[in-house]
Amino acid sequence: MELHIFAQQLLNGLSLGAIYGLIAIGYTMVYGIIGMINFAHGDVYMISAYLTAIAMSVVFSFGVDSVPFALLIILAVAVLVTAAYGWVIERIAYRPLRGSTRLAPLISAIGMSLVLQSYVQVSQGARNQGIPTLIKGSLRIGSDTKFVQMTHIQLLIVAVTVAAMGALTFVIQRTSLGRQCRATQQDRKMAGILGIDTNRIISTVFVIGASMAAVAGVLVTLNYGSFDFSIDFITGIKAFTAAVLGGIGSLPGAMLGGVILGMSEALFSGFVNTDYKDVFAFVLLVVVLIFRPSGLLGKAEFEKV
Amino acid sequence: MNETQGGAHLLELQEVDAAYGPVQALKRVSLHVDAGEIVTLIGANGAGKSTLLATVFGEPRAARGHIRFNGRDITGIATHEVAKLGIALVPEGRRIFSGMTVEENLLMGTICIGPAHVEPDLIKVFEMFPRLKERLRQRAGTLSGGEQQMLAIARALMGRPGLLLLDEPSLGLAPLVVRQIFETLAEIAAAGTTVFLVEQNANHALRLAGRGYVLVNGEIRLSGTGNELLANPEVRKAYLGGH
Repeated sequence: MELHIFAQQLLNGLSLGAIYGLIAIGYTMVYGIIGMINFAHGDVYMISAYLTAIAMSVVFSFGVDSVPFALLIILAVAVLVTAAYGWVIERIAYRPLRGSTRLAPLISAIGMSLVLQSYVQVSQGARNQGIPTLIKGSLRIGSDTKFVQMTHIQLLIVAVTVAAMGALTFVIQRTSLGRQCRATQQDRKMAGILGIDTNRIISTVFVIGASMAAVAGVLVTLNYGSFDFSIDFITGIKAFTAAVLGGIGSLPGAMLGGVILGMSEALFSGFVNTDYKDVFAFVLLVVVLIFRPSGLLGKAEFEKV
Repeated sequence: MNETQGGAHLLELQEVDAAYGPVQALKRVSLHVDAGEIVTLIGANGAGKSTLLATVFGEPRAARGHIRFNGRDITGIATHEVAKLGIALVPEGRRIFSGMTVEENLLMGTICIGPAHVEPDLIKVFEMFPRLKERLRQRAGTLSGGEQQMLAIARALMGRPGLLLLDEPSLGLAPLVVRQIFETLAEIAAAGTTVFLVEQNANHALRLAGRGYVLVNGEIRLSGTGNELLANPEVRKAYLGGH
């Protein structure tokens, strides 16, 4: 085994894992606060890919020629609009079912996922969409024959993910809003008694989750340049795997799960087989669930009465 | 802080029914608490005491009757609005946020009034509960039972309530700690907060309170001053072990 190839796969896995981690945040926070798996979360990510393309064409039609400036606008538009989707989805598909059975919002989520996917397919077409490559070039370290490299977009993915995670961690750990989120997650009824509008906090969590998925959607679209209405499924379920792997409900767990999943998938692709990398990811999930059902950083769950 | 308006009671329940699912927990409960009083509600396990306090916060909602605070009907208002009126609850089982630090728990108590008074109010609760100051950065889940109860009371006080509701604060605590808690409640009342205390520990509760009610199977069976109830043979037999 060549060390530089190993290192290269780890780096590839890092940027892939960063994306999984960003999307996993939405799954894990929503699960943490209302105990449901938001199956429409992958679709929110898919929508942000379309928004990236739309925002890009609008920005360039206005003659913006500075790439960093264009990227900022694209990111802002994608995050804001996707966050609005997250908010609306919670309002119409989940809030009316609060206090209902545990299964009801789950079924509603699957329905929401189908609605969003079909809506994008109908309004945007079923064809694969593409955008031009905005960020070219790469950073290479090593000799001419043995080197590791990261493309600039991979570096951007890692940098933006670290920044987004840092900002989120600050909000959750250090601000009043973050304390209210944590309090609502731990004991929603008591949080309400203390004067916290828990419905507003739950909406906020959906907005945060959707925003993080939008960041991921923008980065992935910039990286691959192509997408279609069905990218929600495999990426969504991988990110969900990352959330479960790290311990669903745990914020650092989502990030850790994402990175571990990304890296092991990249190593498997590099050294074993590319075709079966998805199978490998889910086998990893099954193994973790057998030996550590609450995930790597998760706490054992007690049924709340 | 909460002056009674036009002769109205501070808290008044009028003919309140409430149910948890199909089980009716409260039947035509009427009681009142006036500003400056310490009032207690005693009753056996399952009599509906916790439901009564929860109903003030709309969980469960009163199925009939009215709940008034300072003369205003609050029967139908949202749970999170109740705290903003100046009503705080120290719930059964304390329900502190065990994953958060002691300091964060105390800050949660200020959500209903905003962060303006945090500094002076922290000093006040540390005077009352010096142990909390020592454990400020500790996770609340690592505190002893008595300390957790103190934290639950301190958290409620951080919201500067006009009315403090307590649900069995003595439950599961050592006798010495129980005495400490009741002394603290007397201090809180003396400082101007109205106290409504739900207890199984009838002896302590009736000695502390000016007035009391006895709840049996969801109905108010008896009411009177603390001393009257302490002397009542029925109360002595049922709640004071016949001494």
